Amino acid sequence: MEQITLTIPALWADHHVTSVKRLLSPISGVENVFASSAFKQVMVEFDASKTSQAALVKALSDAGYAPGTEAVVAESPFATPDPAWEKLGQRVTTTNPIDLQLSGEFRKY
Amino acid sequence: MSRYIATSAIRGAMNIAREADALLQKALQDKGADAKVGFPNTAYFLPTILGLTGRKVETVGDLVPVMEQIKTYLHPVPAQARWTPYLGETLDGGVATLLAEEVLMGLGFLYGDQPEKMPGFHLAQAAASFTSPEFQKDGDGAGNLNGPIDDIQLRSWGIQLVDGRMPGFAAVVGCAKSNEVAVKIIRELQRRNILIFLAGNVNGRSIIHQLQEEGIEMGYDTYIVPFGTDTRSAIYALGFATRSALTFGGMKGGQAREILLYNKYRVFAFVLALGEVDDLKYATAAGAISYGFPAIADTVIPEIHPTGVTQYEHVISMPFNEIPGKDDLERAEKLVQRCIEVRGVKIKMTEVPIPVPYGSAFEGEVVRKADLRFESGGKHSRAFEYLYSLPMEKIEDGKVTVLGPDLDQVEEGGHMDIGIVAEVAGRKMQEDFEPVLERQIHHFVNGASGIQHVGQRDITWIRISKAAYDKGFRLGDLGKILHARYHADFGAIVDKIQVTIYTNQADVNTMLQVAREAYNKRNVRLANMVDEQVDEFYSCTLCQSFAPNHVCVVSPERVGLCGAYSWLDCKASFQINPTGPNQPIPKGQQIDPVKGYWKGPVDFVYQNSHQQVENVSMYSIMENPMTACGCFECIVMVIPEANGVMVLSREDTSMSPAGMTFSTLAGMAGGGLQTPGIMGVGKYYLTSKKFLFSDGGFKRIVWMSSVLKQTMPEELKKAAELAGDPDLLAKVADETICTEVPDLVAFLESKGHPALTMDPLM
Repeated sequence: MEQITLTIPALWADHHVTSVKRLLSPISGVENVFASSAFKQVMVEFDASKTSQAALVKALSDAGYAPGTEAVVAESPFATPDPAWEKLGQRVTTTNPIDLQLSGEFRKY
Repeated sequence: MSRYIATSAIRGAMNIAREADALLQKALQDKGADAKVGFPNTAYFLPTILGLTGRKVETVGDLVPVMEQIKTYLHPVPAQARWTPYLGETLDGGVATLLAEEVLMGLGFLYGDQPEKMPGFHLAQAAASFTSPEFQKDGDGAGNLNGPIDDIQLRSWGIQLVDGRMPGFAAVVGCAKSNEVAVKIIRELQRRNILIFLAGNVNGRSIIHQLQEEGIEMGYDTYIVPFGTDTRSAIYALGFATRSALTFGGMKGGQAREILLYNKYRVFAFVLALGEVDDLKYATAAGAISYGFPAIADTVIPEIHPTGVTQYEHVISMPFNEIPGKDDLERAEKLVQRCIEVRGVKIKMTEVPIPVPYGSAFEGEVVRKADLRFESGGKHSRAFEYLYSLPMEKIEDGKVTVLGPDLDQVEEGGHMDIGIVAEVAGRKMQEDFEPVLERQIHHFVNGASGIQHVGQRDITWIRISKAAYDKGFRLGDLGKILHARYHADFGAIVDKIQVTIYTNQADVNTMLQVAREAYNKRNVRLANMVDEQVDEFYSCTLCQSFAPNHVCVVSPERVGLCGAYSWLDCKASFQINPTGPNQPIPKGQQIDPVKGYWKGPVDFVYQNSHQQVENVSMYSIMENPMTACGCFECIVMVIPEANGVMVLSREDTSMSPAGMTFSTLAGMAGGGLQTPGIMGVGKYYLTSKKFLFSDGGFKRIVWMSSVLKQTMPEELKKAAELAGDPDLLAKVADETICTEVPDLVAFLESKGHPALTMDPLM
């Protein structure tokens, strides 16, 4: 029985965990799959006589889960600095009357 | 504020936004911009998007501007070395996450991926919502998890959310340490009557799997709603919270700030993250924090202590194995206790000394034939319950007597007749309160796990499960339940109570006759109780915690719109809590007896609606009708072409002749708004002599949801007779006959409905 641990940047949420487990578990020779979206890692125990690390990596890569080390979103194409910081040198806040109203006797009985 | 959390949450937000954008582009290609998108049985479109952005998403194309808006909420992850105040950016990321998750779920319905498929569950239906592990036994392999909660269920929970029976909701995300711990956490939440939403997984395993394996019944009835096995489906919990503000708070889509504040102060919810927390869980929790809902994790994660966005701590880490306790079960109990402290959930708990768990969350439990140890009532035997008052000295408080054989003498799955007779005494006790108290037996007995109670008076039906019997439950425990609960809930009027359970056939027969005489006497008393005979009506402002400007005026002939509070209930409630939501309203000077104007109610409503409702009539739908919160059982709406009104039941999801479903119409009828021509009412008000008294009464009904005809045929028949037209019901259309106005008018003409020849309504 062999064991490999792969870092997969695209494994960032639990619905990807489900996908990766569904992808690997049916492969002949795969005994156990432990996937962690918090660590973005998957650990696979497999029978080397039936499958190989290369085959597992290929299956993952073909499904969009290529092992790697880089964070998948160092910078998002959407990300922009908060424009408010450009406009305002100093932030001035006042208490909204709704806050006061709601935080008062909101349950009167 | 933790840089680690900010980084993870913003990263998660970016990723989920990118996924949503990709799926949206795919849907635009595959299905086209005009393809319909939405959640089933809701008038609030995609509710979180509606609430926070004001956008009514109906098609794939409508999601394009939403996606653009989501992108504006995404900021760069915090830099490694330079300090920046990233709380705002994190919360923005949280909101972006929620919106993106809702985009994904909405499109999921379009592609048939939502609600998530899971063997052993049935998709919850409008009236009989139920997702039970039992279906698995039937070999049903094509089940669904719940998906979003529909508007009907939201409204039916409304009264429980506002009166404190259901103090809040818990979104439980992930997977517990063991099945045993999962069950304990859920039981602890149920014991406190907290609504439980389930989502997420860890290593592919969800708490939903754990509960299913342990045979825990999940569904609306047991307060456990399995949304999906990934974190994205937690958006349904936030959608529920958003709709609470829209439904009960009278808020409109786009009032993001007000909706978030409403939830912070009025909806007691929290997130419980079980197992590891990934980027998406951080991002979703950041979204929940914007609503004022804190997150508690049972693993080591950074904490956010300072208060502000939530009432107390924002994020709490409580590593499960480090919780002090003799075993995992005690640790689970302490974890739930901590969640409640962090959110500041108000809990009312009564210790009931019986050998099975007890709480409102067990009220919906069904005891099935396979699990049945004993039953009384139903087809094979008779059960009745009767409560009456006696002088103080005649009652020995807490005494419970079983006269005749107990469960041990009945074979497994067997039955026998029983009579539950409760005798109460109290300085403030009045004969009028007897039926009010007697009706509580249903709720009280149902709260015991493994006991099912249906009906009342002499049509009671009680089932006791094998599990409850094995734990030691016996008939005397019914008395113990009543003793504990009457003291806890009605202590102001009940000082002493003793209970006798009759099981000897001769005793049962004798007492049944006594009880029936009392029922008849009470029926006569209720029938003779009319608005003219009393000097005061009662207010109900219970729902002001959710709908701040709504005031119900409850009179003997007009039951509260939720159907739960009659005039007698309010009177008893005032005795129990003199400063509570049910206050007497002296009628004062009569202004118009036909339309139902009295100076007292008008002044009271003006003051207590915060000067929003200037005038209110008791008997008219056309002129200053009474407002509604959101818990109404029916909507009455004028159909001008038919010169009458239609009555749409909460349980009816079909189209109405008004061209709208219940959910859509409810937005116009609820939230404390006064809209002439539309009114939210309790279903038994339809049968009152004062129903639309100034507008023509019961004969104005031209269309009615068939579920009403089916569930209260005798009452409606009697109302038709009182209106002078015994065959009226046959002339009233329903959704099986027509849902279009021209068809309705044709039907009414063919039947000679009296509304067509009555004075014009408008």
